[in-house]
Amino acid sequence: MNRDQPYNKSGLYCNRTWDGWLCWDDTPAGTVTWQNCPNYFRDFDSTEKATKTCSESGQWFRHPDSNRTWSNYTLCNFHTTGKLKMAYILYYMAIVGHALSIASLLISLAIFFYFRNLSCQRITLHKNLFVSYVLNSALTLIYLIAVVNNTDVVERNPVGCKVLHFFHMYMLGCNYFWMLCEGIYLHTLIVVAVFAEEQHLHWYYLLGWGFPLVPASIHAVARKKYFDDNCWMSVETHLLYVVHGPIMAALLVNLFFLLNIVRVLVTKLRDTHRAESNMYMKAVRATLILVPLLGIQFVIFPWRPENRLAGEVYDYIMHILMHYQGLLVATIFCFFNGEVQAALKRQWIQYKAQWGQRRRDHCSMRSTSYTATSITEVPAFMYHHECNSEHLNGRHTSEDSELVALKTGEMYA
Amino acid sequence: MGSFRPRSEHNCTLAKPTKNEGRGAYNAKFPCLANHLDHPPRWRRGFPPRAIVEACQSVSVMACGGTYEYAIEEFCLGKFRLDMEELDQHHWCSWEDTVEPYGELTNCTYLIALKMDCFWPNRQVDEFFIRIHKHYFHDCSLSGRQLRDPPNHILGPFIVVPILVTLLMTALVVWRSKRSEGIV
Repeated sequence: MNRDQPYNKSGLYCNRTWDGWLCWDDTPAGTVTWQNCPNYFRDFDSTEKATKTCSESGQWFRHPDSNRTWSNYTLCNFHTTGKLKMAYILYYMAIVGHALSIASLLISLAIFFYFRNLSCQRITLHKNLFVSYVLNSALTLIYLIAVVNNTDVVERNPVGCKVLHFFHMYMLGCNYFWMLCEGIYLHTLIVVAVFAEEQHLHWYYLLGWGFPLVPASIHAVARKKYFDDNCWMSVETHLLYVVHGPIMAALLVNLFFLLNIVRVLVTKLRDTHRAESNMYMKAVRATLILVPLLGIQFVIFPWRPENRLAGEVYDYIMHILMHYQGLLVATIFCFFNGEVQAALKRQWIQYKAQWGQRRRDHCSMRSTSYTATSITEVPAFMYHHECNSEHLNGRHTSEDSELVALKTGEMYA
Repeated sequence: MGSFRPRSEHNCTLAKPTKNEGRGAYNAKFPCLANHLDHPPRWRRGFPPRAIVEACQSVSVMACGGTYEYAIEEFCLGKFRLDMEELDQHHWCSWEDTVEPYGELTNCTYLIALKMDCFWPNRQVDEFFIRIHKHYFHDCSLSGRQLRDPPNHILGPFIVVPILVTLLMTALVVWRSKRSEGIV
């Protein structure tokens, strides 16, 4: 304040002053000046505004009761209890979302590992994607419970919480880069080397697990040097774009690849490889739906509405989009997968029949019930037949003849 | 903090406390304070801060202007000055080191205002602190406690370089997976 230039505009003004909490600059007479509330009180919201009135006569406003100069800090803690309640609701929603995600992803992984005849390269990529989602949710849960809800830890600012934050950013990157790997794999499979043989997955592993270390490390270095707040919790910094920028780039590239695939499937393959292109269309549909859903949070994130009610709705939607992603991915890639559903149904029928056979011996009933139930009960709206091409090309020897019968049955259904 | 009852009719003199005085000596010098406080506050380091003073003047006029200013200059500033001199001048801008003496100084002005029945904060204390800041903190960095983003010419490369590396890496993976066609 003492170093600033003296007031050089004409007219009456109120002198720059310190009111005990904030500095106020020279203000023209008859105006109301404002600045953000200070952050040194627990219940002060530093996004709210504190105001100070300069009267017409060039004197700061004095409160009528005490006749002392007075600044208006009432808005700083006016809405705090409501906001605190909202914050807790969102916090518990996030915890529930991640817990559900972990549960559904672990179930999906169990399904993929148990049914060995489902596995092929695409399923391997799915497994890696699911593992990265599980780890991301686990880390986020630890971070939310141990750090975010725990003001002592934040005040103490141990190195551990910054390391946790680093791993959190790394796993976030892994999520989106594995989605990118899925897109690249489909692109290579369909567009570049049409339905050709297996690819080397080493480069996908490198992109999915290895590369996200780069933005995470750069973010850690930049944060330590330029914005070293407690536990790196603040989201008010543009340094977060060091991690979110590459993620958005990956999402955009993924979207571009998927649209290219759709273009190729629609235009070029429709005539030549009709059956395969239908199947791949269904495969791509799932990924095409997921990619915008996963990415849309980054697009609408900067635009939080000013209106109170709209802001609350925005917060709820953003939290659902962010924290229930694992559940969405598991549902779309596994539970809605036709092959998985068929395999589960078969297994269930097998168990039922075995159990029934202990009661009565009727072998002939079994084979007829398989094909009958499979063809009628498999839902028409199926997402993935990604491994079918490999079955068709004879790459994959299915141990089960009934499985082949099932596939051909579905294809021409 | 005990309840400060209004000044009594005791004719106490203002006495400047010296260092290394025990509670007994203090109470002898400031009997009014001892009488007025229900629970004498616990002083740090065993002896009371020299700043706590008994403004037991029989003059009952609200001397919140000049006398208050005199009081805080006399009794609060001395300790603060000593504390800051103990601290190396280079550390004056370090908030962690100065927060304790600064807090005691603030407390001291508050207690004196309370004893003298003055409002706190007030104009005199404002000016007092401005003088303190001018003397001790005049060349501390302006950014202070608020963390700020680095300037754009540093922030830009930090953001753009990872994006470019991402695109390069993606192109590399696409190229390598394209080349591996035909290899079982």
